[in-house]
Amino acid sequence: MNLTKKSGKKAQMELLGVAVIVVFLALGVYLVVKFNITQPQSNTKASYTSSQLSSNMINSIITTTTANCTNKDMLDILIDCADYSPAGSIICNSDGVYQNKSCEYFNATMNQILNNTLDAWGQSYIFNVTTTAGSSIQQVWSKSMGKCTGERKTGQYPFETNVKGTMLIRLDMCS
Amino acid sequence: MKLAKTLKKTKAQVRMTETIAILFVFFILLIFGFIFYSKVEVRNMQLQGSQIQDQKAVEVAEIFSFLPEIQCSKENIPAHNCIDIMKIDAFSSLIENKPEYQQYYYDQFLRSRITVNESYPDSSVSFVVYDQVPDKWTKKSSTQIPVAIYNATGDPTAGRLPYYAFGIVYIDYYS
Repeated sequence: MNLTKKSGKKAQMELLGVAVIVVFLALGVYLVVKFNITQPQSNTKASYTSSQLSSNMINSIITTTTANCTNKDMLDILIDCADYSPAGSIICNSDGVYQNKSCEYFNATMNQILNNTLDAWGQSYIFNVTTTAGSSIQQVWSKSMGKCTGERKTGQYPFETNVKGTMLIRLDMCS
Repeated sequence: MKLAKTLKKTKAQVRMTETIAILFVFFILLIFGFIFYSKVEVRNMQLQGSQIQDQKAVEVAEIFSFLPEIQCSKENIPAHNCIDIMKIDAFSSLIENKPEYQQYYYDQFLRSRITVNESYPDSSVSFVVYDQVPDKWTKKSSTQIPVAIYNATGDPTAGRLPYYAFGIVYIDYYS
């Protein structure tokens, strides 16, 4: 009787030992998984590309000379559009009756540029041009593509307009 | 006496089998652990290799973006985010025709292909600036940089003054 009790206790102790080993193994596996596998990998290139794209895109676009709008650059066209929205005052093309003014010209050119670049690459973005005079913010032009819920890389350039105060060109690249 | 001896022998055999079973399970666990660990390590090494390649691609992109040989300049002041189309033309023919320059720029651009594409106004204009694509490669890492492309001669046939076009520099890095 006493011998059976002793042997039962020994079995319990062994089971406890097994349980301790299992717990340690599980802990080891958990730690390995946590620190090695689920660790978020820093994506240097994606981060660099997004931030470069957002600032270089705006910078290059505003420097670009218009193809057929009195040799003005895109920034002049945009400032004119912001000052005299919704149509603008610079007449780029005219066939007597119809006049292609700065806002329409800017919109068409931007669509062409963005269709050939960000849209073609499937890059999600929000492109916004606004003017701020006092407390009123007015939208001049905007275009967006895809969902923008995750991390963003923003490029923004402020410019002074002639009539409408400060104009802010902002491009958010979404990941 | 004989029974006691047989019983003792049987008990020892049972113990021996038990020890062998425990050792078997232990080694099985050890092998599983080793396989798991080595798989995690292989995955980590692959990720590290990929990150190093991405960093190299970013490095090449940065070197090219700030290359004085091709940057626009006004009164000896280089303009960031702008490349001169005439400099690009001279630069690419120099690399193509002189092996010593090929070697010099290989140290900077490594195994990559650098192309400048105009997006606006004329999307058909394209230059291959540097081309050292290896015969065998396993991974390609692409970076796009929007730039302003300065054309100092303009378009004399169309009576167009010097202008800035909008373009994209494509940098494909191979490993």
